Amino acid sequence: MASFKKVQQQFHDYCRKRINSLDFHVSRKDALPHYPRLVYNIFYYNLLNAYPITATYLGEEWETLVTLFLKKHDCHTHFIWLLPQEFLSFVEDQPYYTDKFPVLLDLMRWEWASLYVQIMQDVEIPSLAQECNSLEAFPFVNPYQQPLLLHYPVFRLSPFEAERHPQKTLLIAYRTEELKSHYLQLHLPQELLLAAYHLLKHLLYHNGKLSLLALSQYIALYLQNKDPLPFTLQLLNVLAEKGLLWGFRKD
Amino acid sequence: MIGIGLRRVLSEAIIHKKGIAPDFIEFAPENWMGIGGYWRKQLKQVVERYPVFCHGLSLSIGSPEPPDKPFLGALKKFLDEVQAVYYSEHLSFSKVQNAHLYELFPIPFTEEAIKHVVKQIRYVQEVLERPLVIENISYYTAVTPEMDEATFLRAILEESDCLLLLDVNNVYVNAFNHGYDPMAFISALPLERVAYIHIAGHEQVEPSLIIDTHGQPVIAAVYELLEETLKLLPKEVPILLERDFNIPPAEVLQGELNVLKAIKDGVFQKSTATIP
Repeated sequence: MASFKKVQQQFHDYCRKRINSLDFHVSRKDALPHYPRLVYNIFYYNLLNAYPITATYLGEEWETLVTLFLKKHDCHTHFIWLLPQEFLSFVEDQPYYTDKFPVLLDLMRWEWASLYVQIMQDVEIPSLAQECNSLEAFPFVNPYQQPLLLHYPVFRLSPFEAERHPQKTLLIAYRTEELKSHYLQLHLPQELLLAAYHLLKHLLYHNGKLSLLALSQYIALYLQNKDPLPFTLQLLNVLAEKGLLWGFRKD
Repeated sequence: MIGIGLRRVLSEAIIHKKGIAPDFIEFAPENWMGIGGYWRKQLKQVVERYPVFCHGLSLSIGSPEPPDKPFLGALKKFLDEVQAVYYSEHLSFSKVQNAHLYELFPIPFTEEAIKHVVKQIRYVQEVLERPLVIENISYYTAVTPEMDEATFLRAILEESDCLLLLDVNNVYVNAFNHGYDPMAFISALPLERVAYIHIAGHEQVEPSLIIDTHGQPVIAAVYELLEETLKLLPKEVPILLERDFNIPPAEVLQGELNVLKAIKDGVFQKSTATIP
């Protein structure tokens, strides 16, 4: 098995990292460079389609970043449409890029969320009541949403402009039951944005499985000198007004 | 039966038979598994209207490591859900140590590789509880070849008892790139194992090199090779047109489907294709 494995490993490394130390016979050496080219193009165009604005923002550094990703990151997903998500996780650990391009992560998170909400897997919606009579009710929100805590308004300004106007914002990208994509900016005092973001993430993770009371107890960790229950109810009211709170689990 | 590969840009036309009316549809499970929303609804409509063939991209049957078990489990569920007539995959590897590269690389044509791949195919067939249909890939260089491609392919098909997705364009591309007679290659295969056929366009990038792009119309020489191939088959089989890039209007693709149908009808005198 060793030789078979070794040949494949070398071929793989050559295509991915351009390490040309092939010590096995190939019938057409002249055709060999087409393989790394084809692999690179797959990564390049897939990521460009997902992050067109990011690519423009990074300019020449975009290609360098794609090359680095291809070289350093083992892609684990079978689904090439999830490659942009792996790319985003990779970039989150690249301080050279995130320091040099302050808007980069916000921009990528927003571009990915915009795409992802459209294709998020359909989930079974439980039987829901529209009214809630107690703090023991289990709220169920639109599961096709991605809350984003942004530091720059990348969703309304070009990245270069956004760089000059930092502003903490809580944005929700979501798709409706009619399969249309929308964004909702939550207008809350700056000091409450982080708590609201965590509440939304927690709520989504345990959608329909945590009571109002349990949610408010959780979010108390993020609130200083503020009663968590009214805050939780206020946020859920906002979601209800915008059609993002779908109801309360009946069972 | 003449079919076409499902691309998102074509889905509306295919669902409503606007400008294009194939007999069956093929798609890659990896492009649709786990997808919800609008595209899931589109897929559902396609599945309701057409017989479905699934053509995998990421199984990497030739990788040194065994196929990914959780993926196979999800794949089986998906194939059952879309009632796939066939599930085909490439005789290639596309990942090493579970790092995917999303490109098809040639497996070394060696005895060692045959043993390994046969074992992998048997395992996949057992888990999926259906026959695997293996496609001959296009390749631009052979790697450590101990034998010719036809011998390698034949051994794998027979020893694993799987079916063949005969990609006629790939045979043309390989014959051109590696200087062999395409009909001699096809004649050397166990043609009774052909489940269906792929046809596609390609691009000549150098005087002596063609790349299998699926981005161009099918050329006359490939149509001719298809016709000669059909004459050798013991039975009529479905034919699938692949077009993944530079996708023209549906009517243009229907024109290519019409050519395929005329060729098939010419050979089989309008007999009916069989699918299981």
